[in-house]
Amino acid sequence: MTQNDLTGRTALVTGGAQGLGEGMARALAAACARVVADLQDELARSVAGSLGEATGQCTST
Amino acid sequence: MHLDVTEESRWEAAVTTAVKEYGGLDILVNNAGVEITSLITEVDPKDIHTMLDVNILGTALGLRHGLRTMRPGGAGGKGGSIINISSVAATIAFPGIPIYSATKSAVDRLTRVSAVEAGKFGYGVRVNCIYPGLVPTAMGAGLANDMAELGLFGSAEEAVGAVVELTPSGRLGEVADMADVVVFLASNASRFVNGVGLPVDGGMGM
Repeated sequence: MTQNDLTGRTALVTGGAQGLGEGMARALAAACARVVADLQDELARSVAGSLGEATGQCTST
Repeated sequence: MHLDVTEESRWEAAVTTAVKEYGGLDILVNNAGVEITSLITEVDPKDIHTMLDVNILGTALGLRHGLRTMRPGGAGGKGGSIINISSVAATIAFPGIPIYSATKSAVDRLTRVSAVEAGKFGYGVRVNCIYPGLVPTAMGAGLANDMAELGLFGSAEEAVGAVVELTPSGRLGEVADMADVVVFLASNASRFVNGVGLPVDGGMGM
């Protein structure tokens, strides 16, 4: 486990559907956090779908 | 999940969803923001209200609900880390974004006072913010275009060139530059970092 590991944490990112927020949501998910972004349109749904793929490589807790 | 950050009731629903369906709330990134470019002499009062609402009210409500949820006895109750997204515009005076700069300065102060309150009452929550430099997202690229239209620069490319010229690292920011620092501030690696505003701007704001 690295110091940046976020396994077992839940994160909420506002404005997470695009731009900086999307990148932050993806990076938190890549560090194994469960990420709740504010998902309000088709774009956000596609982000949520790929976030699921990103978290797939993390051990669920 | 839909979260209008300016609506108190939506925040209540959002933190409830996080805790009940995602197992808690440990990290909150108050990132949602609006930037509408205008000279101060030309600014539309409606645009001022929009930026105040999303950038200040939205961040303040996020802090309110994040801290209430994370503190001992809250629905999450395990402490945590809150990261607010300010801007390099809170650290330098760049023309064309007077209201945006004011709201991002407010995010800086909200961060620090919230960190002090969280400490005073033993919430176990760190509160920090970052000052991103210009990143060519839809919003960042739009800003360069708008500045050219206002006559501040000959073209959007000139506006970008002026920013790069001010930046010791010699380039614009990238989304990953910001995201990696957010992960750091969210994680245990930054466990003794609290109440700071961290420039992530390649040195532009120093």
